[in-house]
Amino acid sequence: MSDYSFVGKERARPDAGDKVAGRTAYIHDLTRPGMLHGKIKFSEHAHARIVNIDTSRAKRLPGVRAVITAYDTPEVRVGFLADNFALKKGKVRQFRDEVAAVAAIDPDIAREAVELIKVEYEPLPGVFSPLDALAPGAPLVHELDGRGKPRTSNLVDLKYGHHTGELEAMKRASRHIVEGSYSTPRIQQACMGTAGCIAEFDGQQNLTIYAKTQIPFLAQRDFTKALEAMGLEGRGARVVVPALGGGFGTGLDTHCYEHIAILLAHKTGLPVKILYDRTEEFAYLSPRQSAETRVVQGCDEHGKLTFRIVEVLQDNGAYISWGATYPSVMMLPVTSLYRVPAVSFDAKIVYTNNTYCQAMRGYGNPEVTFPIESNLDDLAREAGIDPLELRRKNANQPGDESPMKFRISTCGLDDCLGAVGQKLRWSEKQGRGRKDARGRALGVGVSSLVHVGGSGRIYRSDGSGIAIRLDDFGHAHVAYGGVEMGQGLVSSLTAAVAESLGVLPEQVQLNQTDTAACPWDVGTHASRGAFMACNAAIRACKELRAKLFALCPGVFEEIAGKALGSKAHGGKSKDEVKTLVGAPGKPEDYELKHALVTKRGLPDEPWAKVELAKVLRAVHFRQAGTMLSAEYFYEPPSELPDWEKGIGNMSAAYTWGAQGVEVAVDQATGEVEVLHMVNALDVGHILSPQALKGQVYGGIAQGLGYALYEEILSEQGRCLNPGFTDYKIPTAVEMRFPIDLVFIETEDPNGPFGSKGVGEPGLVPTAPAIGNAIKDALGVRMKDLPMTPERVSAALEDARKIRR
Amino acid sequence: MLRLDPFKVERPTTVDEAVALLAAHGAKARVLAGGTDLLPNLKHGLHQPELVVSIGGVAGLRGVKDAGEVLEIGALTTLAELERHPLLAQFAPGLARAAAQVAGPQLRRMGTIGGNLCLDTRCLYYNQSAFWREALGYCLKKDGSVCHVVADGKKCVAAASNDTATMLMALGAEVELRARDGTRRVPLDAFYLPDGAKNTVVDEGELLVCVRVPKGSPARREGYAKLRHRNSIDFPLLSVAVALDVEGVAPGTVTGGLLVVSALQARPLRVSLDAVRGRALDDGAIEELGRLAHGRCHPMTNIADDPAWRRDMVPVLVRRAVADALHA
Repeated sequence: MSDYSFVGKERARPDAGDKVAGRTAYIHDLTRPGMLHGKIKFSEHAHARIVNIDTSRAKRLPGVRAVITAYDTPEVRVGFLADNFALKKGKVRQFRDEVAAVAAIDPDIAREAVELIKVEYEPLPGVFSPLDALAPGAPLVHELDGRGKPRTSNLVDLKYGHHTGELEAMKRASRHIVEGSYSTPRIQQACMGTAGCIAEFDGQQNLTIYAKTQIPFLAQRDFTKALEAMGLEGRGARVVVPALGGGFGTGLDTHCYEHIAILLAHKTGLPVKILYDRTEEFAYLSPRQSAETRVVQGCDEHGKLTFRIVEVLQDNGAYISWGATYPSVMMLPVTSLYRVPAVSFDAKIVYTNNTYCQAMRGYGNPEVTFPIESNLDDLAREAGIDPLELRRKNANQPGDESPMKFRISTCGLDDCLGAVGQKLRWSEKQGRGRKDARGRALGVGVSSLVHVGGSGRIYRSDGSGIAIRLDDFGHAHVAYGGVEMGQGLVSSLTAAVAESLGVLPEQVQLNQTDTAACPWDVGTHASRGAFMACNAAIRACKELRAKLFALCPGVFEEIAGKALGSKAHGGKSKDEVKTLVGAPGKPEDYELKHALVTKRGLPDEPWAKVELAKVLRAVHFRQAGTMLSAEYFYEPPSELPDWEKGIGNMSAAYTWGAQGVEVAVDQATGEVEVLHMVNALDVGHILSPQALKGQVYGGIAQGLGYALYEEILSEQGRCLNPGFTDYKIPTAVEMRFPIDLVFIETEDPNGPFGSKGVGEPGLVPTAPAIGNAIKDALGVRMKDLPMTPERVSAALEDARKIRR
Repeated sequence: MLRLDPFKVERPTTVDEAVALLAAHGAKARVLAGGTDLLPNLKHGLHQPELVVSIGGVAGLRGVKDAGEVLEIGALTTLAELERHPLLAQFAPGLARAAAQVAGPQLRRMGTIGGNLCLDTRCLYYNQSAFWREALGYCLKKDGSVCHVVADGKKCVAAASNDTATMLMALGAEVELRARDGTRRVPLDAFYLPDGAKNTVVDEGELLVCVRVPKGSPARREGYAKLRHRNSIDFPLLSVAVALDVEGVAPGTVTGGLLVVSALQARPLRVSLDAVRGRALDDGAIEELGRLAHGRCHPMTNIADDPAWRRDMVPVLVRRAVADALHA
């Protein structure tokens, strides 16, 4: 299976050198002739009526080219429920609300102008938790829905659920039942590169926008709609994606700042750049949703799971982005992590006056895997079964169909759990009440994960197009509409094209992502980048090879013959050459590998290996010449689920894994230190070792932050820690524990070269694995993230009180 | 990136030039050494100086000197230099360890001892952007009349967050302040004021030029403990420094010294060792010290972390600081 030349082989990322040397151009580095700098005036209240906006002083400031508000610009709606507006009119519903914006000749003047805008408000009472928002008589965040109909509650009209199996019967059949309530916080994606864009119009009123997005084509649709709202029907919107300094879900929606840049560019007739600073990134770019989750699970006397109930209450904040649809992914582990015969899932999504939330890596999965896996651990203890053993007993198997009707093609979950147990020395360490030399309590914990590994169908089309064009020099120019945001798509795609076309990796050149040049792609999310790009590439390359081989008969023989007839090969006579090279063959006689065309039956001699470039030039520069290119639009074999019923095979493959950790907990302070981690992941097949390891290490760092450190603190909707000083992500010091990586290759039939998506899984099981290790060390169950020292101390204190 | 307001910069090369500039511009001037505190604060609009006096090029302010009874540490000596200075290793090892716990390696290479001692006090409601503070209606420390930490509070409770101050106060250090009309030496105990709005006695026109640290007796043991979430970058949630004179065979008898707790309010808090003086420094004595300190410490919500937990951590940190002193 592993006779690949490039797939799965160690090779430095093609983009690494430029990034390390500072040559990569991010949105921060881009500039356009005549470009203005835009700046946004944000709300000063979480909920208030706008009484008056005075822009007169800002307009008079020298260097200011435009000042706009909702009152003097066309109404541009944002979001798939159209409940958000590029600029706000009437009232503000969150501190993130954009009230006015300016464009000026430099960033300092723009900032000063924004300070000169004075907004008069009439504050309104707000709601800052889902429970408060659902209380009778609570103030409404939105009086009208996106279609203008009156609303009566803060419950968002998006329905997700799943109810299968004989729940009541299975409850009765359970020997052990454990119930618990858990909470997960709002956290920030914390991209190294902050958000930004440049919008500009040409003389025909067509828009080009350089956008930090993960969804260039859905963004194109949004921007086209915005152009229509601006009276520019029929004009084009072109989205160009610069190098991204991280995405993590922040680019899954178009943002108000992008629409504001478009409005400012149109008003001034000049390119306008809006770039967030770090404070804006924290306070005014949307974080991960927080959730409160109740879980009940049961098992029989042998530890076989009988049922699972999961109820989620999700604080959406003030507007709907794609992030509101987290329950669509929560369903995945709820229904399909382990074999569970009866499953019940309900989710409520609630408007509040907190800053609205958006997508983040994992997209609902970590929010429910923490509760499910924490609860499962307690169930194992209740049943008197080793927690690792209970997981292995209930592990999914290949060929299973899960309650959500996932068709599980490959599944290495049990192997992953086994590897974690072995590498962590589980049986020697678990439940032993061990202490380290400093007297800290030691414990081990484990958690599993399942995630979509073959894209995740949440739109009508889940496709990805690719176009590959061969030039006269044997280079393959690849136009792919997905986005490299640091994850290593360029590595996998380069290897896949080189492998499946038969050229060298250095001959593969990836185009910049640009809607004007690349075929349609739904977006880079759901761990789908490499899976989709490589699947599309394999098919386009197959077509390209067929085209090439169809042109080879005669052309190949002529070039090979010329080589053979040259002095280098002893200047053979024409007849000798003819005999050696043979008559023109059939297309299937030819092969392309490492950029050399060969022909079946010929000896392994240099003259019989024709450079691809020579063939390409021969077929180009002749009468009725041609050039070779191929395009393929790949749609994965998956189904769009019925979300209200929670049924449908949403992915073409599923990725499984397990993390095990050993922690030391200082009982005096509650400080938790991770000592060792084992990460086992069923990746299908390794495409690019470096990219894969990068994804997993990065995921673990983010998972560690979610587990122990990170939380957007807010008071009445106001972000209290909008910066890296007070918003604590793990530093290198926190990441210095050894990590064992184990990759299980299950060769998925739908995966390109057998591989499955690995973009998100790294962070999914980290928090529950750590929580379970704390339980093993201290005997206390941490139910709220992050598991800060004060929370661990409080849990210990509670446990002491109960014992007393 | 957050933008800086415009200001003028002067780069004096002597202390005299520097203090002349400071005297001429009074409250409108700010001193820039490593810049690790001042520049972020300027970006947040916490100060609006007309003039920034960059003292990086002033001769004679950098380095550690053995001056007999005391070590003289120039104000521009970086925290990274203190971390591994042989004179500190010999005469003030606790200070080296405290300096090593400030922020992260890059910041310690820029940050200076003078800057750390003059670090502006910090508060959740103060270290925020100008727009953030404006939307909240400002606060006692800057531009406002309301305290968001203490309801109806009349005095600013922003916290001293400098690691070296805690240790230096325990060591009985003093600072040398130069002005155009002379020099004064102020013990650290008198240097800090209990007002978060401005917590030092540095007057307009004055420049902190050096820190004088008593070498102490061979019996002196120094320890420092810092509470923080991450083992890098973070400001202290609580810090405890001890200088203990311990004589005799282990565990030894306490003959003198001082305990200092900080990161609570504007001023580091001194806790006398009288209660254990003359006693063996055993677990009981250490616990008693912890209890004493706990009784006097009242953390507040000027830092985001739970004040009750921070208070509970006082005896733990006292224990750690003493352990650091005895075993380092």
